[in-house]
Amino acid sequence: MSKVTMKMNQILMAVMSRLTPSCDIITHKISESMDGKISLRDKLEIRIHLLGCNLCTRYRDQLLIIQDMLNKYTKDVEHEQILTDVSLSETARERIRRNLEQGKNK
Amino acid sequence: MLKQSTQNPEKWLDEHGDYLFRYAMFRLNDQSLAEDIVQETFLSALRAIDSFAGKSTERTWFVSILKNKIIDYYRKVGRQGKKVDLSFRDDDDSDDFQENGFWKMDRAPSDWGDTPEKAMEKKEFYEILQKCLDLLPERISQVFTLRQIDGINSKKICKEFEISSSNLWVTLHRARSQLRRCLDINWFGLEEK
Repeated sequence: MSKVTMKMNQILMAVMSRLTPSCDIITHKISESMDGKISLRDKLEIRIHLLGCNLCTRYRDQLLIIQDMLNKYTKDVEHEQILTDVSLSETARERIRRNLEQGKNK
Repeated sequence: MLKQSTQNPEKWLDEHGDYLFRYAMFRLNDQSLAEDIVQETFLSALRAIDSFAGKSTERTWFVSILKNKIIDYYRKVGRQGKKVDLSFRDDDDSDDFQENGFWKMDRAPSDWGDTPEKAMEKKEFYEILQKCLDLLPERISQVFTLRQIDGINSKKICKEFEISSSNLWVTLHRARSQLRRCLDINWFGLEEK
């Protein structure tokens, strides 16, 4: 693409993104899209808006990254990759053991 | 037929106690509360021992009981607590935008670089993530972790917290936005600021 068409393109994108709702509304819609149900219209608006708005694009990318990291964090806890130094104290263990014993005999 | 250790509740504590405690600590970040919840989990398991079908592993079974205990706890404190409810706070994300709805330059997402996933390898990163989660207003963080981490379905969360589904969306959105901003400042913004 020549420089002129690239510039034209940029302007077009910017204009198009201005035709969509503003960033505060788009960020809401982006967040909603992470929970599944959004309308086709919303999807389209997000897409067009992101073409011309790099801050909302960053916002979207960062939410996705956070989602990934949370999943990984959770898995690491579950697979005992981290927090391995956290364990029940002897007193707590004893107390639970006693209560379980009582519960069993009921 | 029941598996061997399911018939031996005295082994539960040794085999799953620390794991469940860690799980509860990760969610609640309160030692004595986490201990109580682990105990409650075992006691409920004991009462329901006949219903354990052996379809899942024993550990999965305990974890699902534990998750319900955490929801019960949230519900209980929600009822006792003053109505802090999921109302907007001052540090609400509307501060991020100008009146015309576009980003304020000093609040806009900063550049996290091309390989933010590298950060995920770092242990300190998890510490900051945990801190940012802890910084969320309590109810918001409860709703967010139940939905995002425990994968509890929206309907159930709305019911337990007695909120409408649109209220749930707003709450989740605010959790994400605040978390994003917290990480932006405390992790990714570190070098520049």
